[in-house]
Amino acid sequence: MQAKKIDHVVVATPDPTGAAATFRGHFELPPSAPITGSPALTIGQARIAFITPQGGSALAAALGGGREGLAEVCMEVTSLADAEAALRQAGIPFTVEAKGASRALAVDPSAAHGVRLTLVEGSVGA
Amino acid sequence: MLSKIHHVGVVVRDLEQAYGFWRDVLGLPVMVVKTVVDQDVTAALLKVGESEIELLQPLSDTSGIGKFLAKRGEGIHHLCFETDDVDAELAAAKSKGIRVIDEKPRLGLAGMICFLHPAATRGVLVEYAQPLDEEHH
Repeated sequence: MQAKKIDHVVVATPDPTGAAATFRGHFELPPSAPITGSPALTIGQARIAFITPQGGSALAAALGGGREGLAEVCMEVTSLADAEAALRQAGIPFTVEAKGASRALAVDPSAAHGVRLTLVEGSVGA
Repeated sequence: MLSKIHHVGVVVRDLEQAYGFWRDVLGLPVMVVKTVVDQDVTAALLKVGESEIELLQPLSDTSGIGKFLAKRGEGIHHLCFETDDVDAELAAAKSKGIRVIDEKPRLGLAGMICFLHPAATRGVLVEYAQPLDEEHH
């Protein structure tokens, strides 16, 4: 497997619009197209998405209690099929999720040193 | 001006064990490994595109990273933005009333660095880094 770049990082927050405005004001980052319907900003070749975790989701469980913070790293890989094969070969647990119109591999945080890491092929859109 | 995500900091218990996933499974090359004595941490930067993953292994339970590990376990620690002028960025942050942790830049693994307080940035611990010339990669 070859991870090519960070596609985006996720800031989990109950107030995505407000949090995006905070980051835009503090860091003067331009907006990007939404990521899975949530506001996002551009920083270099990556983006920062501001997302409210859905109740019962792994992201909500990981964050807990409505806290805000950096919750996920999404990397673009050369080939999702190769990534899936590499994870299976290494015995890394993962689930297959939808990320907008994209298919994503969500690596179990227990295998990624507590990091919620998703792998996608191509940039994640709305 | 902030130009890119320099790195995402990740606290791990054991660097060598962590390489088994980040380097060997994801294919991220290790660019540099250093011990930062005043922070009681050994850190490795692994390249992913224009950015890096910074793996941080505490060397004591009493260091900042050691306390983080004891309280929250392994996981994402901070987000670092690269700048070509960390003094100017820190001054700009202060002028906007953004609460900071470091009153002036200091030497870190990623170059001259400073941290903003997460209370000012939606719970995200944000670092600014100005790489030293020989460390640009």
